[in-house]
Amino acid sequence: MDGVRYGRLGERYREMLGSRCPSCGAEYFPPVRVCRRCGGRGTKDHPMPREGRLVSFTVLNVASAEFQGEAPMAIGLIELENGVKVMAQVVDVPPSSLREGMKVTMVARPLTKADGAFLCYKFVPAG
Amino acid sequence: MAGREPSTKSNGVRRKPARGFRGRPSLLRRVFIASVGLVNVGKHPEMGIADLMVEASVGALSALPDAAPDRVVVGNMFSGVGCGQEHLGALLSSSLGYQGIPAYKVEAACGSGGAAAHNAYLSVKAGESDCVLVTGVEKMTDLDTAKVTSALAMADSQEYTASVGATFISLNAVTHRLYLSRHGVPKEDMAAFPVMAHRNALSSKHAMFHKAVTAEDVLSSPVMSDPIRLLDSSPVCDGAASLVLVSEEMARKVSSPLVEILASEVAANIFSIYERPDPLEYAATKAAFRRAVDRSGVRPEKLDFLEPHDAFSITSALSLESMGLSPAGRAPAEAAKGRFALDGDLPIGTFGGLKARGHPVGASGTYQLAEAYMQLAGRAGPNQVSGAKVGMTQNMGGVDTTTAVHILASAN
Repeated sequence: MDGVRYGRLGERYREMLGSRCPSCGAEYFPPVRVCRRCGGRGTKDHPMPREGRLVSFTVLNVASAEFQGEAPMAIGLIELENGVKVMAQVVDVPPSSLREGMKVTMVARPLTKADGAFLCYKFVPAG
Repeated sequence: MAGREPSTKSNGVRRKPARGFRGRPSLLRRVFIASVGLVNVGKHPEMGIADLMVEASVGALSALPDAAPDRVVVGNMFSGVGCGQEHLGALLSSSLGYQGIPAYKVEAACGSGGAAAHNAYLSVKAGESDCVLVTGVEKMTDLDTAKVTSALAMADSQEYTASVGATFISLNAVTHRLYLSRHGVPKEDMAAFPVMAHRNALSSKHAMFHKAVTAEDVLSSPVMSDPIRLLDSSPVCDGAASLVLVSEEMARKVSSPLVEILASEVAANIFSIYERPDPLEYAATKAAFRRAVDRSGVRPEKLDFLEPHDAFSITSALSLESMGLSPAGRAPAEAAKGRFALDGDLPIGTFGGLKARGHPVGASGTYQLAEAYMQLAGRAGPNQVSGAKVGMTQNMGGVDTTTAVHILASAN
């Protein structure tokens, strides 16, 4: 992650800041300008709920160049309480304890060990 | 043989009259593949990206001594990061000695080859070209594993998928797990896809792998991204495959076997799997397939073979089921029972598919079309599907983010 990109996206990453369509109420993360449901073009920034459920997950052993030294990494497909789905890292839990359907909570954590100053949404087991 | 008429009797395939977009009668021209050229898929440290493109192109053009392409279209995903080279259209046309004709690259991630062929098809169909060279190419093996992993992740969102640590395999892995649990599919059945692909590649000259594998081999191979194992995944490799597309007028002048493209359709989905209502729904495949069937008039049960986008075991299953060629949750069991084998009811991946022929990503769509040509021209050797008259290819970019579907029929 470079500083310019983090400068542009940092708030989205730290707060999981998405968007909402004022016309029909549809919510989005990642944020969109044009509403996929009603075609409205005036969506506004909107925070996402922090609670969700693990729909599916994987533990990857082969990381990309930017995440060298981070594997194994748990990556989850998470459905938030508002129905929006995100892909994110699942941390603070041994991979063998991951279960489909488990409740998770969003936290802001350093993106990688090397990028300690860049905080990004990740998920931990709820409670 | 000059003056030969391409068959207008629907290539022996009974079909409805071809229709244009939204049911309007098509006034446009017919499009044929007149020849193909393939580089053997594998690691080619001795060949750069231009060498790969030229090798495949010369192979295709050598069957047509009197043909001069009036357009060159290259399909490629990541030559920029793969080998620091862009501007592939002009690089290829110049390398072949052409000047002044349109030449450019078409990109749609791993669906680049299918999208490039679609672009060439449109040009011939519209009457803008009579002879188009389409070359799909990818040079992957100059990169180490981590850099290839980063390059492939460009198929999905850089800002919200790759930048949070997800890889392209991991996207397919979450769909694989969801699929197993939703349908109660045993993981042993999923292994039937790579077992079959490796079996078909044994006698496939241009395939990367010539080694049979068993379900036990698949299920004990290293875990890449749980539950996807090494042998569920297509390999990192280099390759290039070329097609020469010609108009009906040009087709009368060539002596090589002709295969007609009855339909060429591309559809784009909602970008990332997590943005879609159902991450297991291949909506792009579904849309492109439906339009291709409608426009060709070919009923799906009449397909003699299919080249699907089997980049992973899970993409084979979801592709077959999205097109309605297998009931939901049943494709792995049907594969295990042999329905998709070379001598089965619907052969797939007839030269080994992406899994065992290899998946040089931006070239895979043109390999599929070249293999369909070989099947329909009766030139598939030991991999020949007996009596093949009509076939289909399905080439995805991303996790069914952009998909090209082609329906083809022999025309001799």
